[in-house]
Amino acid sequence: MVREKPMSRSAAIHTQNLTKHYADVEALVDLNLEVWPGEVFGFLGPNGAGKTTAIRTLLDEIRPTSGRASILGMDTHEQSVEIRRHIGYLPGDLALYPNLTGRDTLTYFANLRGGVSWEYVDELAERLNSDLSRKVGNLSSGNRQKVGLIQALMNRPQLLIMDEPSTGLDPLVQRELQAMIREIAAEGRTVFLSSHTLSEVQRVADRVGIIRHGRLAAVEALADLRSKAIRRVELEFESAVDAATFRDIPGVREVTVENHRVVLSFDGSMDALLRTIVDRHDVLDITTREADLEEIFLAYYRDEAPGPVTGGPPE
Amino acid sequence: MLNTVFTKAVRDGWLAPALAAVVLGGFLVFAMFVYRDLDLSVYRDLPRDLRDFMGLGDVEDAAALAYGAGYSFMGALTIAGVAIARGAAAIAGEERDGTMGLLLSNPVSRGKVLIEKAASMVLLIGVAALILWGAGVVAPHLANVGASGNEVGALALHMFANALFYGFLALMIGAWTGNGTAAWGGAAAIMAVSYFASGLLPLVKGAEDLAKLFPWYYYDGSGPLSNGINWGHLAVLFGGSALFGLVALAGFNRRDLTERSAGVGLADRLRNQRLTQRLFERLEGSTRVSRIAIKTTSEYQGLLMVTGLIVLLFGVLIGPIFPIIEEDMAQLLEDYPASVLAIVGNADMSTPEGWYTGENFSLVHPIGFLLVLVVLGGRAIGGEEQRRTMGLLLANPISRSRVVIEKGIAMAVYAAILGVLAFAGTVAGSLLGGLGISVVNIAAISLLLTLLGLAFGALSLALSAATGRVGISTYGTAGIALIFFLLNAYLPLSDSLEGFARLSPFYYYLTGDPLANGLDWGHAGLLAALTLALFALSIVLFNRRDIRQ
Repeated sequence: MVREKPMSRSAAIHTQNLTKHYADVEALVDLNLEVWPGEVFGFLGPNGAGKTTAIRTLLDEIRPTSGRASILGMDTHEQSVEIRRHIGYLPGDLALYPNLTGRDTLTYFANLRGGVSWEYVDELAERLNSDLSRKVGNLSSGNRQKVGLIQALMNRPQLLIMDEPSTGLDPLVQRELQAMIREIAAEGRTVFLSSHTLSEVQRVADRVGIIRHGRLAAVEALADLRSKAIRRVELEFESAVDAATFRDIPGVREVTVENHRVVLSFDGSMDALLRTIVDRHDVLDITTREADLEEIFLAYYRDEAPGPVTGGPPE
Repeated sequence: MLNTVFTKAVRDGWLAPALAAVVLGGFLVFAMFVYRDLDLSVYRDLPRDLRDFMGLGDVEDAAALAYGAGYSFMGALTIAGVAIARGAAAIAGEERDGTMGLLLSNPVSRGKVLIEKAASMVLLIGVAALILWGAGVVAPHLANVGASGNEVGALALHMFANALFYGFLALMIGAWTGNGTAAWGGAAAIMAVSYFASGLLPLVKGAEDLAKLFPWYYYDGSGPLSNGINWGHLAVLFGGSALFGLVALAGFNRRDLTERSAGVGLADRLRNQRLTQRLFERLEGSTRVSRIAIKTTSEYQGLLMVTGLIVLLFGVLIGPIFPIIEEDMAQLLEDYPASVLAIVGNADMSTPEGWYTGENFSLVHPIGFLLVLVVLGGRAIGGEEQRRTMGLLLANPISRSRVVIEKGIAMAVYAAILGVLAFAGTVAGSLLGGLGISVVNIAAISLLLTLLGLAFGALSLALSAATGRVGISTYGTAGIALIFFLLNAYLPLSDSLEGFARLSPFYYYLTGDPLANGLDWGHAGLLAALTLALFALSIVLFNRRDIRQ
């Protein structure tokens, strides 16, 4: 899945010690990031970690306190207008002009941007099941998000920057969006998407960067991250069990016992776990799910990201 | 401050009334100093009717003159305007912001919300009136002028009652419709009509009593500054306020909450009518989003239409009134040399040009122009940031400079439309009344007015570009404009301070009486240069800062 960085082309996004301080908050600290052409890059972090600050800096909405960034080889501040000919952007917490219809909204941005094919817009609207004839102000947030998505995609940008794109979308539309993202990457275009949920990113991303307290904690190929993925395993037994009997199983990181129920934090071989447990106890029920990002993060990057505990950036 | 709906409403709304009261109070002190050194006999010799018409009342002393100039009209209008803003924001504003549903998801009834919001308005306007009263009591001591016989407390109480009346009117309209624009627009329009009717009707023989049909009469009809409190008149105003409050309560309780939704403008309605559908689809649709400037011009059509109509109508209607009162006016003015009238700050109202200048161009038209252009300028940048669309707009390949320029173009288009309406209305009124005012001079004064409006619009744009905040830009510019207006109106009364009036943009608008004497190109050039400088400044300021989120 991971593509090698092509030597001939400049990075889609490149940041050098990109830093943004607000009056009393370090929103972004020395961000060094390289996103390669043709990849889908997931930018992961809990709320207030600095994802949106990073994106807004890339778009020249806000100016870095220090450091610099380039997009498609162009300086994000000096050449911001030229950059914006080649990107599509979906802001987090999208706001549109309530008194325009979806089609008016897209026409407006198409006029400002150029290079928009209406056939493609209609195709996108059909795929996302979006009604463009209604006023944006009268749409539900999910349907508004679709209009935002279409405007980001409609000029077939070289780089697509999306801040929490799945917000408000139903699962069917989310799946369609994921398919679109993979198609874009397949065409050699680049997608940079931020998210606070790993599950959203892992279906589409080639690599993920994890950001916390304004600092980039790690950049991992998704395949590597997945191999680290901790699972929560909940087991129910016929009789009460002793926590000690689970601690010696390889990969078990934490055990919580409530009478007949046991919850494990586990990152070893599922096969070995099941065999051991079935040998020792009578199992009634088993459920397992992926641990959320924060759990993984705490497990792996706690020591590497000693950021301040209080105060997030004003997103 | 966030314990109750009431305290939050006070917290959200204290700034405008406090600013207004402090500015007006400060101006009063200033006016006392100016009038202190004047020979007041020229005022005392003016006929009573004329003094009343000019809002000066009894000219007992410098204090009375200052109260009349600073409080009676300007102060009352400002405080009532603030009350209207609070009343409109109370229910309709919260619905427009989309927070009403959330607020009402808490265990508070609609009635309680409305009552607490209304109470906050009463408190804020009350405090503003108290500040005005306090300033009115202190000012004569500061300036060391005698003020006995002036019932400034009574005047402040009348101002309070008057402001509440229009505030509750706006509250009522907002509570019934959920439409903030209708609320403040309706209340402001009724206030404007009422003010002029109660001022003009007494001048028309046989129609004096008709003034009593208009609420403004109950504010100053009894002359509270010299005659003290008129409880009967206050009862009318307070009673009206209470009635509006009750009707608001009933209206708010019976209707559906509006969602934060797209407003249905006149153009939308026409687009949905079979007869006009095709025309308006062509006019609207894709053409209005073809570029930023055109989209911006399409956004404030309502404000432009209402204000433009008022500007046009005042232009047309003032003309035919002049012949009716000309004789009285001329007789009144006959014995007084022009220099006396110049001191009053008004042109010679016995000539058609003076009549138009005094009635329309000195106040009504500038208010209309500034309202539209200051709102447009303040929302140009800050509005997009406030509704969080600026980031998306700037994700397109357009520079920040171009955004400012496009917004500036939209503002210039609006100014030009208003200028043409002022011109057309005045030409029509002059023709209807057979006044024979020079069309060239009408064009001159309309051009100066347009440039004046643009200068303050550009100031609002510059503040908006610098701060990204609509409130600071619009209220800030309104405050600055008020100060400049007053400086220009009253500094010339003092020999030693006269020269400082040149610091006010208003000086370059009417000085030299352009309607009678034609265009002063220097003045026009200065206003244009000021406008362009502020535009350039806006571009620089906007390019320098972070976009708000």
